[in-house]
Amino acid sequence: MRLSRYAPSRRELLRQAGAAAALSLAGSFPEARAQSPVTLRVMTLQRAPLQLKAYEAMVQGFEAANPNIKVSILPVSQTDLWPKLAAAYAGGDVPDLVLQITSENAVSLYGQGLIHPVDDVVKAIGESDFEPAALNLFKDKGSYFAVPASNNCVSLLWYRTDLLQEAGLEPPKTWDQMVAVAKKLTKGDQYGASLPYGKTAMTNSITWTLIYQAGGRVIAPDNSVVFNSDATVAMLEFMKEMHEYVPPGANRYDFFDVLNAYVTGTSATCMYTGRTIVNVNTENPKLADKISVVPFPLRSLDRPWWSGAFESIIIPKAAKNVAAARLFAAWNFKKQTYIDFINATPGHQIPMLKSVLGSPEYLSHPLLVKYRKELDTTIDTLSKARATCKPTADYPLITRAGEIQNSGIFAETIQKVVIEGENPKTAAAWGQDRLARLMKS
Amino acid sequence: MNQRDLGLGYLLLSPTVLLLCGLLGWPLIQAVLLSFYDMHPLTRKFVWVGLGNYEDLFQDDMFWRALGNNFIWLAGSLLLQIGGGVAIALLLNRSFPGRGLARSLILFPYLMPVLVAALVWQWMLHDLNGIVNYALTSLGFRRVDWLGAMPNAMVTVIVVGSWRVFPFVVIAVLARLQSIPQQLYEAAEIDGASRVARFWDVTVPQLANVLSVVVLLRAIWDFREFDLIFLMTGGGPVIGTTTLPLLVYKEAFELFKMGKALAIAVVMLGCMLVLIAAYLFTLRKASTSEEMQS
Repeated sequence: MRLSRYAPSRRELLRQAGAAAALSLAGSFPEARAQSPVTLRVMTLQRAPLQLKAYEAMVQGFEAANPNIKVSILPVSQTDLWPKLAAAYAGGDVPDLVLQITSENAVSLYGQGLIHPVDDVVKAIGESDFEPAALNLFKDKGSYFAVPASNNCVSLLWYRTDLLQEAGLEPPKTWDQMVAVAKKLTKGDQYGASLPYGKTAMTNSITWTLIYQAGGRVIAPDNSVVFNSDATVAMLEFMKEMHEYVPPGANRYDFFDVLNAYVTGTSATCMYTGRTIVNVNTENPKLADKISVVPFPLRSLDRPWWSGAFESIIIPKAAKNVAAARLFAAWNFKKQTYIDFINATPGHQIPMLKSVLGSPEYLSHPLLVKYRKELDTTIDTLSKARATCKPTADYPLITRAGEIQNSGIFAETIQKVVIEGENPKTAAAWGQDRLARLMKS
Repeated sequence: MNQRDLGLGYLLLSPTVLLLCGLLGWPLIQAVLLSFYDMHPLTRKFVWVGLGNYEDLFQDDMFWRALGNNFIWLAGSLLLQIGGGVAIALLLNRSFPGRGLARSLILFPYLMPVLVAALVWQWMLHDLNGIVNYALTSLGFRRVDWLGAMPNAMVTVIVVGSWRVFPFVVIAVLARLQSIPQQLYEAAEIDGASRVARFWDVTVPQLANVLSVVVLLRAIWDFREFDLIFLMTGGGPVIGTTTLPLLVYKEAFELFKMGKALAIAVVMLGCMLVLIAAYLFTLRKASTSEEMQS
C-alpha cells in the first residue's frame, strides 16, 4: 500500500481542533451527548450586527460538533431584559442559557434562587485561567453561580483630542474639571458632553458609579436603603450641572444615543465603553485619529471608583436543556471562537481569560493595534473597577441590584432634578422612599 | 319557535359560548383574583394581601398622576382626531381634481403599523438628526426636545397618536356626509341660510349620531393605548406621559408588583365598562333615531 504524504490545510486543522475540543467538552458533560435532539434557546445581551455574526459562526461550529443540538440565539436589549425574563419566568418558558448578562442582573437572579450553579462549566474551561476578581464575584457559599464571560467599562470618558487641544484643555480628572471642560467646549451646534438622562438602562447603570464615586452607597451591608445621602445629592448636582452641556435630547438618551452624539461629532466628550473605537472607525472615519480616552473623572482624586459590567453566562433554574446549556456555555470559551466574538467589537469587551488577554491572536486585531493606548487605558481602568453589586471586595453581594437598576428609580430621581427642577435633596428623599418600597416587596 | 328548537339553538351555541368564556372570562377572573395577592413574576410566589393592593394604589401619587395623564391624553387625542377628522372629511366631500387619490392617501397613517409610525416620528423629531430640528435650526431657532421635556412630550404623543388614527374618523364621517340627502341643503338655501348656517343646521345634526359613536369608540380604544406612548416616550420624562396602561407595565415588569399591576388593570376595566355602557346606549339611541327617520 502506498501512503501519500498528507499535509492538512489550515481549515482542516481548525476543524480537527474543533472536533477535539468538542470531544473534550463532551467528556465534561457526557449527559449532553447522550440526549435526544434538542433546540437550545440562548438569550444574549450583546446584539450588534458583528456580534450576531460571530454568534452565527460559533453556533455553526457547535452544531457541527454536536449534531443532536440546535441553537437558537435570542438577542435582547439591556432595557428589555427584565420585562422579558419576568414574562419568561411567569410563563414557565425561560431560555436555556443567558449570555453576557451584567453582574447586577446575574446576582439578582441568584439572590432569588433562579439560576443553576455552574461549577462544572468553570472547571471545564479552566478555573485558574479566569481573572480572579471576576471569578470571586460570582462565587458564593463555595459555588459558582455564573461564568465570567467578558468585561466592559462604561466608566470611561472618550474625548476629542483636536477640540481639547484647540481649547488648550487637558482631559478632566475630576467632576469639577469635567464641568469646566464641557462648558468651554459647548458652543453653537457643539456640545461639551454626552451623558444619559433618559429612563433607560444606561442612566440607571451609571448612577451607581457616580454615587460610589461620591463616597455613597445605595444599599448598606445590612440590606437597608441608604440612597438619601450627601453623596447622592452631590451626584444629582453634578448631573444637573452637566445637563447644561449635553444635547437637547439627552433626556431620552440610552447607550446608543450617548455614543451616537460623540460619533457624529456633535459632542466633544462622552461616557462610553471601548465600543467607541469600532463605531467611530466604521461610521465616521474622519474622527478616527482625533479620539482618545481617560478613566471617567472622579469627584475626588483620593476616592477612585470605576465600574465594570462583569458580564457573565448563567443557566436559569427552569431551563429545559441544562446539560446542553452547560456544553454550549463552555463552547463560548474555545479560544478562537472566544476571540472572534470578543473582537467583533474590538475594545468593547475585554476577555476574562488570562490566556486570551495577553495573546497575540487577540491583540493583533488592526483596531486594537491602532488604539493600543486606549485599550491599555480600558484594561487598566477595569483592573481597578468593581461591580456595582459589590462595591468593595469585602462588601456583601447586593442581591437585588438588578431589580433596583431595572426599577427606573435612579433615572426618575435624576429626571426630577434636571427636568422638573426639583431640589436634589428632595429628589434624593423621594428616591429613598421609592427604593425602600421596592426592597420591602 | 318551539321549546325543542330553542334547546337545539342553545346546544349549537354552547361550544362558542364555552370557548369565549375560556378565552375571555377565565383570564379576566384570574386577573381580578390575582389583584388580591402580592405576586413576584419571577419567583411566582403568592402572598394574600386582600385589598392591600387597592389601598396602596389609592394612596400612591403615581396612580393619580397616571390617571390624570390618561384623561389629558384622552381629551387631547379626541379633540385632535375628531376636529381634524371632520375637517378633512368635509374637504374630501367637496369636488376637486385628484379627490380619489387624496381619499386613498388619507388612509396611509391608519394602515401603518404602530411600531413603524413611532420609529419614523422619533427619527423625524430626533434632537440631532431629525428633519424637524434641522428645519428649526435652519430658520434660526433653537433645537427643541420634543419627547424628553414637558409639556412637549405629552403634546407630541397626542399629535402623533391623532395623526395615526384620524383616518378612522374621516372614513366614518365621510360615509355619513355622502348619505345626507341633497334636498336638505337645497331647502335651506331656498330659505336663505348662509353656508355657515347650513353647516350648523344641516350637517352637524346629521353627523351627530355617527360622531357620538365614533367619539365613544375612539375613547374606548384611546383609553387603553399603550404601544405608541411606550415606544415614543416610555412614559417619561419622569412620569409625564405615564398613563394607566403604562403604569400597569411599570408595576408588573419594572417594580415586579404583579398584584398591584393587576389592581390597576381592574380599575381600568371599571373605567372601560362605563365607556362601553355609554357606547352601547349611544348605539341603541342612534339606531332608534335612524329607524324613526326612515
